Amino acid sequence: MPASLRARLPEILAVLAVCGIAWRLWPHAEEGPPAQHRCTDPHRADACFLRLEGGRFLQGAQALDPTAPGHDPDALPEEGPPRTVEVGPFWLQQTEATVGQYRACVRAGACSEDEVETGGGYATYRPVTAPDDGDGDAMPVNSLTWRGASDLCAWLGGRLPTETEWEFAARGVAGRRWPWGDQAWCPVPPDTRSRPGQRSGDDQACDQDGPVRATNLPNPTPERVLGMAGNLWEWTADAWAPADGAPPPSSPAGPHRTQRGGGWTATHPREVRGTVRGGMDPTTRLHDVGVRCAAGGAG
Amino acid sequence: MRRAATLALLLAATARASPSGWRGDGSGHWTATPPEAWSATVGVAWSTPLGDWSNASPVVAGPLVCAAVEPTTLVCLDRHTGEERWRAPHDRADVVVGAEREALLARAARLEVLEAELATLRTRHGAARRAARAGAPDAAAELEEISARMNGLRKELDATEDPRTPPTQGMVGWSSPTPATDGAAIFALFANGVVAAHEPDGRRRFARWLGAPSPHMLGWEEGHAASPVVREGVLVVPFGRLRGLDAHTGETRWEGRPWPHYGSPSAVDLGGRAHVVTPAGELVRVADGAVLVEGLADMWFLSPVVAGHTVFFLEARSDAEVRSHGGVDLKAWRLHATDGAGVRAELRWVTTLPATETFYTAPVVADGLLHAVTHGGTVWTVDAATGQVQAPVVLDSLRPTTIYSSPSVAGGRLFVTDELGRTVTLTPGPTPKAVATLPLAPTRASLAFHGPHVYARVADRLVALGPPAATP
Repeated sequence: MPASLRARLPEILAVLAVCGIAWRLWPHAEEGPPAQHRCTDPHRADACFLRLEGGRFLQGAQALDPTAPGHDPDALPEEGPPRTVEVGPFWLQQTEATVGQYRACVRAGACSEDEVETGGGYATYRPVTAPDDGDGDAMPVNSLTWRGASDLCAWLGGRLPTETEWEFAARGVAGRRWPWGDQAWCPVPPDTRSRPGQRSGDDQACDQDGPVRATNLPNPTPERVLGMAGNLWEWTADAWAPADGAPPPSSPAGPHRTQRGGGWTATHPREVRGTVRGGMDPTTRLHDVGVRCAAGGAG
Repeated sequence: MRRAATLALLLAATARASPSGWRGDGSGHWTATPPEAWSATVGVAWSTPLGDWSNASPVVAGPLVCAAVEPTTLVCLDRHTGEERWRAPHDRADVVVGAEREALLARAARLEVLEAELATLRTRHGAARRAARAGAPDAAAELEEISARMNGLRKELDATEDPRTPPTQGMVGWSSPTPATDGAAIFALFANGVVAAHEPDGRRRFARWLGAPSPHMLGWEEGHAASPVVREGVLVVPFGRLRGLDAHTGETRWEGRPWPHYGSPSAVDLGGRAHVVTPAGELVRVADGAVLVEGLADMWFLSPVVAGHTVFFLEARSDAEVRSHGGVDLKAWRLHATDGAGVRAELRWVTTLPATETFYTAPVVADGLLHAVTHGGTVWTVDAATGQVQAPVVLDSLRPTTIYSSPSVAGGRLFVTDELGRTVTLTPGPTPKAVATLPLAPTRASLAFHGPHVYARVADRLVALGPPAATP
């Protein structure tokens, strides 16, 4: 080794070390899910993973000051305060995770049927002892605990999304009120809504009789993520903190976790806006709750 | 005395009437002298509200004109005045008696209770969700309890066979089949599986439930539209499978093949016996359901059309398939009665209409010409004897449009009505020429003609166009 190079060796090694650390720390969307779980055709309604580029956006909303950023007259206190955040590239499932995926996860030994409701009715999951059913397997899996959602995402090669990632996917850089834009639509078209005898009796604008398949959710985001408004509330990784500063609730299983998106029992489009959020005991198994997994990125 | 005389006239009038149903004898070619023009206010003999819409065409039964109303009602009006004479519901519970009716009503009542409880729980669920969002400490437990109860109710609802006719939804609805008449009774079929016969005074002659509709239909996904045909004392019912019912008792005379078609069977008389031709290209003898010929065609959602002893099959498919195929095939088969009540079919010609869009309507044959109209308003004319295709005529006054009503020929004119109710009248010929565009309200039903009148089932009404009719 030339003497000049030898003399500069400590500097060279230091630079390489810094580069290596930076490489480890920098979010790599390309580290995302395994190839077989990545979407090959974004026009198919599939529970595969789509790559989202990320960006800067105003997360949250407030209803107090029409002149201030993030004003939404329907915003509740827990949706604020609005703040600007930066999201790196990451992957997100195009649709809510499916019954078929959870069944496969159970068969692989990576998920448990103790973490999901199997009793039928509005619960979509069928035990692995039940025969395969293409239509049933394509339904979004609901009534699963936060643990069940986490395990499923891990098995798919991902993780639960953060609230920030979830909201960025739903609202984009433009800060849409709903995933499809600013039009106050119901998530499902009229002919998939419930029969009169099954309506809530409240505002009947968005009566939906149970969760539906992604193919019945016609209004995607510009990036073609489907069903982020309504259908099923979606678990996120974040712990829930009340807006009024009260101590965060928790259960023996851990802190309450945040759910986003609203569910099929919503009766009005305002209940499924992109900033709507709620906290829930992580052990609950509710038929209006499912999951949409993320992968790659900072998490 | 006066009432008896009126009844006698009524019965006499109906006795002289011929069998009739969708598009009259099924061909859409009417012996009538309809008005040359009308407007919203001129040339309207009467306009009677019926309460709701229907795709079914009206049918004249003696002094009555009858129509279906969503979801499962048959209404008959005085043909001269438009006054409602009677109406009859056809839910399943309406057509059974005794213990069977009580069981259906009890099941329907149980379902109402379950649905009401489910609706209440939904309201509680919504309130609990809002409380959870606000951080209420017991919201999770309450939501789990509500979810469990809702799941239980949903399971019981799903496990209970529902005898009620659901509310109308979609384009096809529950009442698309056009009623039929043998000149004495009026026969109605609904997509909830109920078939019934009514005397001219509205009394029910018989009613039956034939079961659930076919889960798999050709060419579309919802409902049922095929209309019944009555000949020689047999009601031919295309629902679930093709059946022949005794027109007086409703008892099953014969059962035929599955019926996945939206199109209707068409009647044809051969060797002095009644037959029907199906969209699947089968010739079925009405008396006993025997399939005498098969394989003549492969139609999806249209009906075969009979002119004399020739049957025409327009094998329309989707727009995309029409474009990839280069058009729509049209076949003409001549039917011959043979010895021993047999039938022989002879292929006369096959041609392809080089259309770029499909047909939602059956063609009409009159004066040696077949006229077929695409859903976008292009009239294709074919020489019925040779299959020679003429140049198409575009109905510019309708474009853009969608046409669901099958065309008719009456009084020397061709009538084409679009879904907005705009009716173009044309002089038929190798190149039909538009004469006028006349207004009606929105409709998917075909026109019916009788004497100097046109009967149109539009929006929520039945309308008679032509001179004001004198009461007999």
